[in-house]
Amino acid sequence: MKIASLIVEFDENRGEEIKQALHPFKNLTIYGEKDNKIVVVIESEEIKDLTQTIDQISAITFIKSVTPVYISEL
Amino acid sequence: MKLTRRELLKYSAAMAAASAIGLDLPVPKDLVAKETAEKWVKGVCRYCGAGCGVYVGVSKGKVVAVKGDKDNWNKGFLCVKGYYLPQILYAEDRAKYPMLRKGDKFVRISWNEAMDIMVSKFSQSIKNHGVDSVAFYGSGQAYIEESYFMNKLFKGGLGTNNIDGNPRLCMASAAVGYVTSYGKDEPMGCYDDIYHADCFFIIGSNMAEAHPVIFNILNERKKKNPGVKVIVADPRKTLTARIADLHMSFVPGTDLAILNAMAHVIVKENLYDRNFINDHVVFKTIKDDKPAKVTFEDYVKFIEEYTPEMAEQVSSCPKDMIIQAARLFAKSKATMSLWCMGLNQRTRGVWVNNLVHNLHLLTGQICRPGATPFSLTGQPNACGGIRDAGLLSHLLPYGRLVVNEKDREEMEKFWGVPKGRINPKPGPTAVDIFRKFNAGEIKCLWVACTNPGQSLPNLEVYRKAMAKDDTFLVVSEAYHPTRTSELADLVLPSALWVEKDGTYGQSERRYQYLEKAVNPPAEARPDFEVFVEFAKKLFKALGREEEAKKLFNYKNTEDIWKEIMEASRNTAYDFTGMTRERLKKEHGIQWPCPDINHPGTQRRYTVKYGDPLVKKFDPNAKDISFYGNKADGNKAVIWLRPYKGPAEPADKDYPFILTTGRQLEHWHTGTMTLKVAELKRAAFKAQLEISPRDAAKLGIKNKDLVKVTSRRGSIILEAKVVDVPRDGVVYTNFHYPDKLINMLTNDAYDALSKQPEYKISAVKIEKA
Repeated sequence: MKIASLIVEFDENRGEEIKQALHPFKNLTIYGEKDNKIVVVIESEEIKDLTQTIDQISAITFIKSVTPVYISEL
Repeated sequence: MKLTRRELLKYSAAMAAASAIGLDLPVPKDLVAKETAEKWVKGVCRYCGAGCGVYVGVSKGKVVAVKGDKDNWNKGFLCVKGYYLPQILYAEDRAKYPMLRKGDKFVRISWNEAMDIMVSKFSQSIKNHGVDSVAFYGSGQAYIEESYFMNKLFKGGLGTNNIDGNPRLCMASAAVGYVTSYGKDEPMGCYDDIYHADCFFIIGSNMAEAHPVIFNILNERKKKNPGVKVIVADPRKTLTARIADLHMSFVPGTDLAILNAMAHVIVKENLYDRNFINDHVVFKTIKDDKPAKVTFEDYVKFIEEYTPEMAEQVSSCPKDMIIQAARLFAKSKATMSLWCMGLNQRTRGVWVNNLVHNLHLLTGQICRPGATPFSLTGQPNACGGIRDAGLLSHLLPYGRLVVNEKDREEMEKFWGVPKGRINPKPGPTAVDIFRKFNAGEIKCLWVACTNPGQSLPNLEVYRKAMAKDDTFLVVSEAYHPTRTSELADLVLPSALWVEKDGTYGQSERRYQYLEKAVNPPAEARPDFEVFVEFAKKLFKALGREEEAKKLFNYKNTEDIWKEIMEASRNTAYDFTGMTRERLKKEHGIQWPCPDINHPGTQRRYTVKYGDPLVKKFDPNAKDISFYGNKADGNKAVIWLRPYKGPAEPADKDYPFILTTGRQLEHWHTGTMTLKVAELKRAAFKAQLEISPRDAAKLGIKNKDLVKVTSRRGSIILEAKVVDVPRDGVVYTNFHYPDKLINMLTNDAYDALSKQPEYKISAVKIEKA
């Protein structure tokens, strides 16, 4: 099991929309928000699934960047 | 219910990301100490030099929980390491009995046998080869009482300066930096300055991981005050750098040019404080190998060549950034600099420390709330136990020096030993103690509370020295085996942390008492008890039993604490008001604290902000007085320090610079944090960070095994391809005993501080 934390940066005043858009992602937990950035943690069995999830998050409208910070293995 | 491994890892991951954006995460319920403890004992965290106040929860004779002390400077906050402290006491590999080497094995012996063997070896060595044939290597993790005692035994009792401590490897350059710039060691500022600063200049410190609680306060300051600027100068995009308004990346070892260039801009743009300079500063350079006073005009001439363009050429840090940093530094209402090993572990460590102080002195950004140069400390008692109590081979307690006749006479009188007992020649420093051990000049070495078999640079040479058959190595340790105790001839089991009582002194001159909370396991004993017993028996073996009765007449740590307080009287450290009773009740006290009613001193060298010693040492001072530097009229020194590169720059054979450091979950050589299951699961192996561009050039993919080779050795590590180190720089942690990173690092050291250049080693990288 891989665990990764990400900083998701989004356009100003779009926090609620982004959180709603992230809601359907399985194995994704939102930890907090500050200055147009959300801290999320995603879990997956394989690295490629993590990468895929990051790509999908990056494609959400109003998201400016997705920065992986920390990846760990269970 | 226990926090699951999965939840802990998720929390650790989230905390890392949250730190990067300055977000405070609530602590998971399972990490919050349980209120079911039978009693709560006041103490201090065992790890870094931040010195977070804790309460230790005890139930049925065991430590069951730890919580932050809300009334201490850390306001109840701890980092993830702190919450898991109880586990370090109950690791399976705790050293429980004295163990003697017999061939390749260790056999259990009694304390009496251990003491007899030690006393016999040390006394025979002294009788046959003189006092300089024995040595002690101490620690910034030992209590003040322990370090002060060993210093007295060696320097005052035996008359040898063969005693040094591991802060030589982490803090010596900062200490000599303060001494050369202000006359006396230790910061004049405090953590409270973080609440007042408008500009932070963080250089050579990844405080988000190495000092997370201090970093969180800084983050909070920035979060609540958007005008606050953070400048981070670091060759890596660390978690600390991610909150920076200005991240100055540079080629490791070139920061002297950058700092002189910042001074150049400050002078050129007339951003300096002429009045402050006139009143409180002298200028010095080195002429004919001696310090010589020069003028402000000489200084201006000296920094003329350090244009931002020149600094850019040397360092690759863009000149516009250097100019911007200089302006932010000088124009801010209050600028606080924070630094750590990135400046200290260098062959020009003292010089680069001086250059940071220069910026504060040029601009008058000093001695008022928020304006201060503040050196962060690596170990919980490097300041109190080693720098202040004088357990370095050139020091005597509380700012006194072995080379100074008056200081020697003062301590000889204070200790009641004959005039001339203290050797006027500084002893060997950390690396040199092990060099002499290797050469057989030192025949008996006692290592206590530290792990040089993993932490010394150019490690293989010194591991061989420790493993030699013709010398005698004693290791006092809480765990066995460690990478040092495995090489010992005799291992003595030590009580750990709150299994004994004593005092710690952290980075902001705050002394805090740790009460004993539980008993140590099996036959482990407090080092203080062992030291005193050894001293008495050694002196008996040397035919000096009567002298020992006077010198080492302590029943407990409180007896020696009274003597330690007295040793500080009439010095710039004066803490004669810090009685045990007060330390037990209060949440740390900052020196100077010259009488029992004094509350302690947040900011030194200023009458306005409450330093009680200014008027004592400089009666005519109106406000600021750098009274530690009487020789220069109580003024501080701006030094003319030229740019010099590292001892081992990258070249065609070794084209990368290896730099090392800490990560959030672990501390030092991992003897404690790697015993905490949750921390170990979160981070369990050393990896080599390499930039994506460098990795692509070498055909290295993430998780490939790579061979890292310096002029001193090779090691295989897993590659972590990540956009953190700048191109040409690779990085790894030094925590892991299965990967002895210090086999690769350089033991060349600073000529003034004798601190080795861990931070810069030239290496080559190949796919393994």
